[in-house]
Amino acid sequence: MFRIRRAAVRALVVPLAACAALLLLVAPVRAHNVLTGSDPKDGATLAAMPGRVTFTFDQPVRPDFARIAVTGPDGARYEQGEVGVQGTTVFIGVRSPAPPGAYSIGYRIVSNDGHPVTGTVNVTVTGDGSTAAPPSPTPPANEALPSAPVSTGGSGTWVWVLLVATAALLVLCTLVLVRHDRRQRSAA
Amino acid sequence: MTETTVRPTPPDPTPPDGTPPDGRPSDGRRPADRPRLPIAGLVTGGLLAAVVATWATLPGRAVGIPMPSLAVDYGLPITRLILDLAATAALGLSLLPKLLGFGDPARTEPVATRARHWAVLASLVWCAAALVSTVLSAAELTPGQTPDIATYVARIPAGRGLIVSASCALLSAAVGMLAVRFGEKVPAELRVLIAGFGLLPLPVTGHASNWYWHDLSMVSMELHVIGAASWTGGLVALAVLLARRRELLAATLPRFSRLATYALVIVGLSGIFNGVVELLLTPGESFPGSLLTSRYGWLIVAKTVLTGVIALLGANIRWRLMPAIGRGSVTAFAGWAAFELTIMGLAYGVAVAITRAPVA
Repeated sequence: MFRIRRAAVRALVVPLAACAALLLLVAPVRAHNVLTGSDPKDGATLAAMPGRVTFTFDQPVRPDFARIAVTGPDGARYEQGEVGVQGTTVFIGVRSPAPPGAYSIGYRIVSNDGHPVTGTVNVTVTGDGSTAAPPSPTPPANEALPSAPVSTGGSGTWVWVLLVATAALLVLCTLVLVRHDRRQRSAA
Repeated sequence: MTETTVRPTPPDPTPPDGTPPDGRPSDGRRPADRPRLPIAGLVTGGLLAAVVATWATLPGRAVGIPMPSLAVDYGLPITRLILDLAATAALGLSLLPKLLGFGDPARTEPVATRARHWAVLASLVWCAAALVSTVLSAAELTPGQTPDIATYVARIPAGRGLIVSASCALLSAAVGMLAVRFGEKVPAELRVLIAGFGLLPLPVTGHASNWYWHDLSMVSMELHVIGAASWTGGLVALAVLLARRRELLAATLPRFSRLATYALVIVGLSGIFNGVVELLLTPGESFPGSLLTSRYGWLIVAKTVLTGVIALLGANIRWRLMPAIGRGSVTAFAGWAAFELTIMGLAYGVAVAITRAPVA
């Protein structure tokens, strides 16, 4: 009975000892971002389209991969400039003559844990944007951190070569193993 | 894989394309004679739960921004399920020599040979699934473009986790090859260690960790993964390789039963802890309500229910079947084990969705 227990305990405990070492390597901040608020709010009816839209999350947002799109009633795109990330907020400027109608503002960030977080906020604009001056018509370019270049370096080729080589290796291993097994079983 | 041979047909490995092998007995033999049934149950249950749970928790669309294609939306959880199941099988099959014991090589060696063979195949499938998973995850981040794997691995910890896991799977296959060649001279502990180590980076790819209690929830998550894998993997190995060998089963089942009891306690406690922490720390709905209102909460409830069912089925094997097997009488062990593995497959499928579902 002691030997049994030892086998079971060893089977469980040994990998866990290794786990302690792994924890030291893991980056400390890595969690799922959740949208906590937006300006304008979802479903809001506005006199005029504000000069920029902002999304606020519960945790700092990863600057790479963040995107915002403002689609107007005519199907045209009204966002302007680059997406900015500051702390827990993501924002983008909006083109100034925004006609009245229904707007869909879609956002997509990559959460700290690597999962995409997406969603859409719908607002209705009643007045004409040309008369009512928005509070901050110019997108604050000075504080907007430019989003990091996502896929500028086309370094992809060697990765694909490596992947194909690994796949070939796996197939080769499988073939060798199956042949070895068949030979052994026909000999038996 | 000829059906006319008298010797037990080996089970199909989890096929890389995710389709379950045909496990239905078509020639009138009892299900207990078909060791493929447990694998079929596990894979079918997993696929069903993964697809349904993914469909129920698909993230909101972002108007005006290209979204990942359906192939990525559903391909990623399915690949991830194959990864999890293959890694589980690799660990369980490496564990089997320890459960069999080394006292009677003449009787255990045929089974151990099969276990070594399938352990290598499972490791190869595991490695392939981890690499495909990396490609699909990279594609998910940059929809509409060629997936930039180098950036994904360099920037996102989950990418590094998948690559480390794939490397461990490859190493596990290499050591397993040595074991196929040289038998049990390659220590079983080494194989268990490598397979277990390959499981450790996987929680990093989910969002189990949070701001507060980070270290504690990570340790609990690692316990959860190791416990679930050795439990399910051990049962897979038993159900597939030992269901028809009554004396060996009588000697091995008590050892596995002890392991399963530890695993049940560990998996249950760590799972509830992690689920509750995640819900507590998520802004929005307050905790007991969010169990029922948020889709993440539904998944936690579903998994708790499944764990309860698995515990009942395990208790049935432990207290009703095991004494009978010990007396050497005929039991429906294979059928019950296949049933339990199907429920475990459902739990694995839900687990895949839990690591990806939006929390709020």
